[in-house]
Amino acid sequence: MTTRTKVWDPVVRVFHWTLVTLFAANAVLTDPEHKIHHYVGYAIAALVLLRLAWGLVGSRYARFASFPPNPRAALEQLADVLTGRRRIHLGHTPLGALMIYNLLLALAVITASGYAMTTVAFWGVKWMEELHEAAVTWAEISVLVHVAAVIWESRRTGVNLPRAMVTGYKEVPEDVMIAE
Amino acid sequence: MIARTLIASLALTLALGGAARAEDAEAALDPAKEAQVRDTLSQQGYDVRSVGMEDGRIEVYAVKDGAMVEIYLADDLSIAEVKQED
Repeated sequence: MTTRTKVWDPVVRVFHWTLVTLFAANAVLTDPEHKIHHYVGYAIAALVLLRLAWGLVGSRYARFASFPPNPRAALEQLADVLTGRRRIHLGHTPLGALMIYNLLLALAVITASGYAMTTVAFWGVKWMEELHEAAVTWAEISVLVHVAAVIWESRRTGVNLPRAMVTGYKEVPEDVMIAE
Repeated sequence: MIARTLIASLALTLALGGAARAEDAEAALDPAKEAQVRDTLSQQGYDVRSVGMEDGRIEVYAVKDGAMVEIYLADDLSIAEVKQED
């Protein structure tokens, strides 16, 4: 038996998968010197701003207040992972929260530096280009860690996290403790 | 199994992206030649921002009269092509 709880509202889900698509497009497919790379970058910047606003006025688990950066809780979750203790969080987990802030910050740096590269002030300025590329590499490594962690945590807790990000519902096995 | 395949394909995709970027960083330009390029273009009123190689040609990022341009040079260092960013 499982209990089904609505956690992710449509804005959170659409934000997540649109961001996945646009980030992948600009990281791998588009020519950085082409207009389309710039437009996709603007769209990503708009998505980040939208998510920041939604973090203030969105539904319960979308709000930053429900997943503040909490190093102690993150360490506890890490201990759960290491000891195999099955304890779940209905909203974002403490480690997941840190990853979200990390990714939002990386995207802010990527979009700001990318835009700067198209202005007269920073046109052809090497360090701005290097900052842009370093932030992209950092975001790519973060994405790999994020995906690996989501798969790992889905297996450990028995809650299918990728499916929850599609349907909006977390299906929690009955024998699992909920940490909140 | 699915998880491993997913991670492997993700890693491969990102590695391809990284390889594509690495290609941009081609062999460094001879510093004396770069200085000569900077001199010549500065005399023509260009604010030279960076000089590098792309597709075997010398490529210069510069600004002139507020316009952002990419300049490609011929082997004799004359201007072969000017691309303006709009």
